[in-house]
Amino acid sequence: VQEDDRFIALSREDRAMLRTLLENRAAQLLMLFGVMCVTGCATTERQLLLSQIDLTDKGIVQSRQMMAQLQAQSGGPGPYDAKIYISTPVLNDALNALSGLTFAIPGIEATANVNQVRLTRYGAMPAVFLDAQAKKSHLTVKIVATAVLIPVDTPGDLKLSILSFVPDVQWYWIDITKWIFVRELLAVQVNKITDQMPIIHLPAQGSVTLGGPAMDQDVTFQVSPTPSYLTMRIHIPATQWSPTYNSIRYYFLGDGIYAFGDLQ
Amino acid sequence: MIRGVLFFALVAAMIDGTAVASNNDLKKELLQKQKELMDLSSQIDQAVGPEFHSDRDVQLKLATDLIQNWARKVTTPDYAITAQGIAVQGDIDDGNGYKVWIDNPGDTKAALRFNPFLLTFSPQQFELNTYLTAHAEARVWGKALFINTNVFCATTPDVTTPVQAVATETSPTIGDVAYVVTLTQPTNLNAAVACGLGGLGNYTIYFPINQLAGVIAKGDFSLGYQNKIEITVPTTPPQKISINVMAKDQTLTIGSDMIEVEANLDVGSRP
Repeated sequence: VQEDDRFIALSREDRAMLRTLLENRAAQLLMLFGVMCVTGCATTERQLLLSQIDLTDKGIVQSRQMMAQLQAQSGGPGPYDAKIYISTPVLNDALNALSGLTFAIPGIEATANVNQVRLTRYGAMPAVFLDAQAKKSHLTVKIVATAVLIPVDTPGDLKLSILSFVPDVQWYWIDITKWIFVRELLAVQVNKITDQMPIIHLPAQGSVTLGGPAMDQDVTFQVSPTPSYLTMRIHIPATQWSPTYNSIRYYFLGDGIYAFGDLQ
Repeated sequence: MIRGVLFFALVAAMIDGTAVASNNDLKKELLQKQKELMDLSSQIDQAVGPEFHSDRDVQLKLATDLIQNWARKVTTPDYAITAQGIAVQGDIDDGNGYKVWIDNPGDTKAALRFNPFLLTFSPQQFELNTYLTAHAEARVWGKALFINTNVFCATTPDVTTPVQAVATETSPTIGDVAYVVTLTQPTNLNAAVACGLGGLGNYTIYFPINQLAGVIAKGDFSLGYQNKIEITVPTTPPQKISINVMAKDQTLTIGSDMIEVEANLDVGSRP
């Protein structure tokens, strides 16, 4: 083999073994497949890393914004009419209800089944990590999806918006049969998964109510020394007012979600 | 074939080596960004004020400014408690051969018109200050021998007095703070209605203002809380999961700027 000089660092025995290997067709095919896999896995790892960097960038941007707001308002939320705070443990207990949720993975003939949901802090982002299993015919790949809770139009409603949807694999030891499936999963458009994600309604209504309805009550009093008594029905007017939220500001710290609203 | 495989392997190894080196750079970048994010989180924790601390599961607050606005809104231009007689017992006067009485209790009316309320909040209660003008009227009948008459009589002038009232909170729950506003001043003031019945004499009917306005207002401050967290999955039709969250150990705090209710929550399983 003329290329032997390229393996000059190898011992004579190793070179002999390599020659034998290279002359064996099965070994050649195995080597070709392995090389393809290693090259592909490196690319796959790159995609995973880029996805994580993107997620972290978003966390940094949100955190900087929150920090700027806090600095501008002396560490507070600024003036507000109503506040609601819900602790992370309560939200996590509620989010557990999503265990078992199955949704179709857009673009490929596969589904994902949610195993566990966990709300946690990722900088200033209320990040929700979903452990799921993606299934395609007989193949199963573990998935870690990261979502963020985004306020929607209805006060107190937060939508799970998927930021990343990545297979949780050890790419250098990946089962070759799953490799194509993993690459398909990495190409899934996260905004299309978001369409299938639930909306969380915090235990809050869209308004507060102050006052009460009109009411009547009877009072009897003496009107003359004789004595004579008069009973009057007293009408107390309604005082109800139900202002609605016209803006809500959400802050997420590790201990829970703080929502501050202005009412009109 | 061997040359081809070797060539391919070499090219692949070179590409892979480049890719792995590039990935190592990305790993370093990721670690750096994660550290930056952690530093920012620490900075946020140090920057937040008392509004971002709670050792309970749920905290609800309502600004007293909003309650002031409500009080002003529902009492402008005025707030009127009205009353009408529904029953009368006994005669106003019953002497030897004559009688004075209210024949139809529905003819007896009173109205207490309050100026817009001004609320002041102090620890665990709030007070109301304003003025009221009381108007009362009645139709009184008199009978003696050949005389059988009636006269309409009213307060002249109407009685105006400063008013103080205090709110008492009853059975606060996590979502609602019920209150009753009761009059504390004046304590003993009547709106007097003088009725002249000519030969039968003059009679005065007294309408006790502190009884007519014993309860000035009653209601709730509903803090916009509901005892459940709902999750809507956008299937067709949408799937709704409702999780009960029951409050316990709730506490109510009334301060000068906020009404606050805090509680712990028991999270129920999905039904």
